[in-house]
Amino acid sequence: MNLSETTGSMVGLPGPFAGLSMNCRACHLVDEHTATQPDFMRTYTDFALRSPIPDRGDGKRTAPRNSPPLVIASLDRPGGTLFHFDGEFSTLEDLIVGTFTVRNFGWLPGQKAEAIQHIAQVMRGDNGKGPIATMFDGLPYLILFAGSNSTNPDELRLPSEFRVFIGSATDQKIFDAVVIVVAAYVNGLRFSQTDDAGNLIRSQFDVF
Amino acid sequence: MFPFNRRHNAFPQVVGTSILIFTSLLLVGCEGGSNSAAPASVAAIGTPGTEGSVGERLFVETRFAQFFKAYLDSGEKVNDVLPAAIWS
Repeated sequence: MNLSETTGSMVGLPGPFAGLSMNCRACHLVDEHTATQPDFMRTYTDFALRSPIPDRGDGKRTAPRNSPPLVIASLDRPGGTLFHFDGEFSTLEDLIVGTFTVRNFGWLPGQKAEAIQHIAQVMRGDNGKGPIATMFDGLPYLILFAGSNSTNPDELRLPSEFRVFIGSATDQKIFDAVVIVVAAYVNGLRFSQTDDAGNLIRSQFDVF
Repeated sequence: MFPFNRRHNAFPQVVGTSILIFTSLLLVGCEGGSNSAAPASVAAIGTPGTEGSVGERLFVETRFAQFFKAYLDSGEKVNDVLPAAIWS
């Protein structure tokens, strides 16, 4: 994942997570490359024709498609939502399960249970001091997901419906909690509707 | 008929009682502040919107991938950083 691929396989810009393993943001990019290319702002999409996937020695290096934009992707639609251009998933939660546990994250067919077990292991063992955690709150997942822990600042208390006791929950329960929290984040990705002064900045088509 | 003058007599008493109750509650509230315990309602129901910030952290979490599983299988720990990590 050392590159944000652009015009071809293994051709592109230095990846924002070079040296680390796959995450969602490696392909759902935002402003990672605007420092060198000001017009390279993305709406949680990538530059590739087909998004790169981890090398597992099976010759597969890309997904069948690129990474679709996520901003407003989950807006309600008549007839319900469909995700991916071929309508692979009908809910955001299914899409997240079908990303965390499959080839996009390096898991081969038949490894879904192993993927869930591994994700639960990371959630249980995290100490909140890693490079990603310190970019955010610096709290272990175990405390973040407990919600009511006295060391949690109020602004980091998860609403009760998102909480799970990571120390005692099953792998599946922990994984389910991860999925619904990521879904909540993606659901919140919207274009701004107003400027700093509160004026509407919608499309001109909204006038009609 | 409502005795208008009684209203004037009663009002300062009501206000005075209210101030007394409010001051008492304020003092009780300040006394409990040293425990740094969150109000029961926030601790119980959480803060709406927090799921977005926690979700963003999970969105960029790099350890869920099979590559990191292989790293753990080689004897490393969950909080060990991949040796090739490049962070500025």
